[in-house]
Amino acid sequence: MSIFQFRLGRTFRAAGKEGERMTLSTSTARPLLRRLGPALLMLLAIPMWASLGDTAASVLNDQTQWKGTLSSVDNVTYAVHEITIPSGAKIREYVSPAGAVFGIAWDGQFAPNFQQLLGPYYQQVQQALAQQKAAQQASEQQGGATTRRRRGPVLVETPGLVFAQSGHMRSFHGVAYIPQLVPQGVQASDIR
Amino acid sequence: MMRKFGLLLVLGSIVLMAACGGSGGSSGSTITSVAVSCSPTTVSSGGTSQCSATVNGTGNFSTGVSWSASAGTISSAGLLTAPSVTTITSVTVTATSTQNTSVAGTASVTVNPPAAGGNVVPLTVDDGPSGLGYVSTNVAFVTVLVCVPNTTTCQTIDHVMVDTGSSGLRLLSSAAGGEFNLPLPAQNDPNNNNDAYGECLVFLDGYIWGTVNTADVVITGETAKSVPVQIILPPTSSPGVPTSCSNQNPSGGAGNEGNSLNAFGANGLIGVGLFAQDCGEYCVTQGSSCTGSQTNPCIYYDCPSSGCTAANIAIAQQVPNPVTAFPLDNNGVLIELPSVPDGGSATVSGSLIFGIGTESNNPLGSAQVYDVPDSGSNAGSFTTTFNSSSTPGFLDSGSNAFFFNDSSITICTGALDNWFCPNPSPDNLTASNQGTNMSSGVQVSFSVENAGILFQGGNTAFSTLGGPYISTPAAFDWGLSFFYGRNVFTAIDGASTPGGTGPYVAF
Repeated sequence: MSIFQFRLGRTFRAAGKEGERMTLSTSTARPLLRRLGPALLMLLAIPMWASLGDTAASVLNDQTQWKGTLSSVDNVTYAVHEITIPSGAKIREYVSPAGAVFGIAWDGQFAPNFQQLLGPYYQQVQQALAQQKAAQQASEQQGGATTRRRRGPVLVETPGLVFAQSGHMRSFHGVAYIPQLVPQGVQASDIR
Repeated sequence: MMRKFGLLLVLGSIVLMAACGGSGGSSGSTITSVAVSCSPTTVSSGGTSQCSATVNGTGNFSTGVSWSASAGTISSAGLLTAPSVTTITSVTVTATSTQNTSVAGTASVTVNPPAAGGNVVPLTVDDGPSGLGYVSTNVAFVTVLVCVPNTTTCQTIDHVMVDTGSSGLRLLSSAAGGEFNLPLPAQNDPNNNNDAYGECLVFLDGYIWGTVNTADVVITGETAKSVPVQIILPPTSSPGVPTSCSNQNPSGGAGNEGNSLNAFGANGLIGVGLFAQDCGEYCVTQGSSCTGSQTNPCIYYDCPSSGCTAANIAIAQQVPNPVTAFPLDNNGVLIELPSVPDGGSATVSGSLIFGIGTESNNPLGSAQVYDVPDSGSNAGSFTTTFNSSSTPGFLDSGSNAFFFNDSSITICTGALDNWFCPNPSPDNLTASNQGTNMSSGVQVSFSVENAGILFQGGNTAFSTLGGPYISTPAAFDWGLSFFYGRNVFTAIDGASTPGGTGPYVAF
């Protein structure tokens, strides 16, 4: 589990660096942070950010780099960073008190870049989908009697990873989370 | 009959006079003008157009009008049924104020002769194209004729998958194991050395890559002239797949459905969905800012010989829903598939009909219209309420089953674990669908059967096939299982129809 946390933490920071290329203004994020100031500092007392162990200033720094918007800092069991990217899509990253991104949800006209969004877990999703395809191919040898190709929303549910994506052209939405990292008292259905 | 009609007219006059007396009186209400509009403004022989009148006046005036048409018939609610014509004919629709019959407004509706050869193409659900290494399941196919523009150099492509969940015609090249091998002219970028355009199209579980070319597309009596289409290439062809393309799908590089006929499952894909183009405004201004990162997806590319880079592309150059390029019957489609009994059918034959209310064979009739948003995160989706939970719902003939969340339905085990295996089977269910134009939902019943049993025979068409999806954030995918035994309309974004302006679905 500690390896998971470390890797997810790295993924989270990588996403922040990627944000340097985003074109959305930070002007919306800064006033929001100021308005939320006292609450934010209280929450920061419980480490809740990817920048775990860093100061409040570094959180502001993260936000500046992301050039995204911040929302839903009203739950003591987790924090949500919502980034609206230029294409209009929204990506929400769920961060546990331990500082790990335990879930990600997205919706928009296009699918996001999964290599960046999922980091090392991208490999796991690919493997799981390849297994589904292999089962279908094995069935083909028997005239499709055991299973058939599924054309529809993607669903991967393994003990260590849940990945789902539905929708159609012009509307994609999905979620990915690590069940073991979901903090106590938080439901997987909170990641949306 | 005449006598009764006359009596009604007299009665109507008395009522009118009473109304005038009441409202006119001292306030002196007057009618200043009547404006008329009809939608659509062009229909085919025997088609319908819905007309509406706006009455302007002063005081407490009456907005009542009476309708008349120079040809065909028009109902008291303004629904014009066009005459049968053999040449292009203009019909004048007149709305006359009932308060002041000397004030009227008119609108013209152009009536075209029927599309030569018709607007109906056979739709088939079967085991798939020749050479497919597995049994195609719940995929509806049509045959299209593709020609080099303005020539008679053409190729007939069978087993092109009909998809209401996307827009655009895409053909699997012979290099990728498909049938298509005509030398089509490239669609070039006028803003960048006339470089040929390439396109990366991402689906839920995979993607396709290929060039954008122009073709004349002939389907039954309808012809789309010089329309952009995508030619699907395998990764071994040139131009190669850009690295920024494949990371937008969860299967990674393995998700390339242009690898083979087995990977794609059809000789082509005809997207006849709710949108006029596959990408739209985003690709006009932001397409070139794609970085391969999550900030901006990559769709269209400029592909000089040195390699492909992300590019902007004008709306008119994007791959469109080919229906929009037909001269007639271009506001949407109607899919008619017969009922399929429990247990499935070996094959099914139905119809893909072009146009909505444009000809005598595609009226909306009593179908309920479900308006859907044309943008935003739920673009193209209505609301489905199932088991007290409301989620986005969408009609997608390119999905091959009902896909939804119901934790009470047993999921199959082993290789079948992405299908439902209810016990007892069938499991009879009810959901409710609501469009943005509706104040409440309309119930719909459907059944799910045990996939393990369904798949044991050689059947290819199933009205009861279903598979699981996640509970949150959920979505209800009404795939091809839903279409059997129904008439399903999809109206294109911005197109005018007798049921209003698209996008909407109706059934």
